[in-house]
Amino acid sequence: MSSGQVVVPGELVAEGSYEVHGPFVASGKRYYAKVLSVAVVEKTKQVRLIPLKRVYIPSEGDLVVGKVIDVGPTFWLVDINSPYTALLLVSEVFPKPAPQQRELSEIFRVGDLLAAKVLSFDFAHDPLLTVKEPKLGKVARGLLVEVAPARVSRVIGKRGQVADYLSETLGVELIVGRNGRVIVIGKSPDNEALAAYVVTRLCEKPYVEDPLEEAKKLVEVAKRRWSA
Amino acid sequence: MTAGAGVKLLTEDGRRLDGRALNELRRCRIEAGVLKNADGSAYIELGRNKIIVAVYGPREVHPRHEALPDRMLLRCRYSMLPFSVAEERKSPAPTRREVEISKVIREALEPAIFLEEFPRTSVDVYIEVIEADGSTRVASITAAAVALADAGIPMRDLVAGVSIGKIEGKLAVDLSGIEDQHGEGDMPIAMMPRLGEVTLMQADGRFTREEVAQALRMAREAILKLYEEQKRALKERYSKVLAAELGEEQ
Repeated sequence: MSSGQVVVPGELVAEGSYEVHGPFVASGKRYYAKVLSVAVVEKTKQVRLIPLKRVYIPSEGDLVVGKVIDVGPTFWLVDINSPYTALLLVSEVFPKPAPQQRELSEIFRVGDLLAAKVLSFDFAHDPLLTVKEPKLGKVARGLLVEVAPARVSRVIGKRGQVADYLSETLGVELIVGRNGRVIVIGKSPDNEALAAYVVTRLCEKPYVEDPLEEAKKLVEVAKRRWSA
Repeated sequence: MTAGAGVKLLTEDGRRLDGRALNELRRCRIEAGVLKNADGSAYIELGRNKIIVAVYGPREVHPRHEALPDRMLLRCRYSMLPFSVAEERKSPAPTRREVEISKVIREALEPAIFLEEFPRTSVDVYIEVIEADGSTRVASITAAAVALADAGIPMRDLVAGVSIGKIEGKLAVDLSGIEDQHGEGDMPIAMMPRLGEVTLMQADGRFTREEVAQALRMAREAILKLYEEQKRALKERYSKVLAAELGEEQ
């Protein structure tokens, strides 16, 4: 199998003593792709399957950007760009006695954007969110960029390298939600637009070998365009 | 179906009306990812059949009470456009036939999907027949499997289907509209090509034991050809995307 090949569900990816990463089904020593993916040969006898499309499935500890879609008596319903709608309980916002519902909508209204963390999720129950950490809570300004959840990890990069590089060189603050929503907060609209362009372009390709290199290239392209 | 009284479906040299041999498929072309607004999509042309399939999901189930606690809900809707048939305009209201076909298509696709992967969600498959010329249910299945894969739905295998019919006492692959109308029998069969497992088998008309066994063999052979076209459609769609990066502007 050559590297970078597209494989369809049920297609044989590797046979024998291989190490396969990504979504696969094994039958003995035969490995089959489970979803439409790109197969990348990483080392000899090591293949990684990179899904081309994927919905966001919440996972404990993920930073997500949510949109408030309803205010309940003791919670907010938050759309997190996933088949599973999340709940933000009052207790995850305030430490003490819960305020009345009337007051709840004064804190977060329908349509507000939130930076939140996934507290728990197990498929049987809706995901729970929390904003009880520094830097979490309502996003007051900035530009929302929506990208494919399957590709958002490259905006973060290894140990946050890409995100750090982007905020440093472009002078913006980035909130990268694992659910494919990225918020760019800059000093000027121009500044934000440039960063949004880079983030969007970075997530266009199905597969990028070195996200940091790619980001550097895109920043160059963007800067040339904006100055022209 | 009434046995073809007086309608000749085979020529003297044993060819069919459109010149095909008995075990020959019509020209088949599939395209994946044809719709931007759907999560996955596919378009199939099988002879004069033209069918488009759109897939949405996995997404939240509406109405919510239909959600299943332990697996994904698969819903299919097969529908023929009013101008899809040669005869009088078909009423746009779902007919009994369309409701039945929607059900059998769902049941033909279900075994291939890892439904337990996303509990409490739904995957919706919308099939629109733009032009019909026999064997639309199996062509729909072939296209729907490509659309599901295109949507990133986890699957054991693709599913492809073909109809085996009986014309002038002989078994024939992939019935056209006229052969279906005047032939002596029609047996739509769908399989998971790699696994070789049958997911749909219906029949009207009379078939002997030997004929059924032969029909399955013929179907398997045809389905493997369709499988190649399915794979080609999916790979080509995304290889293009991958190749486009190499020649991109910098």
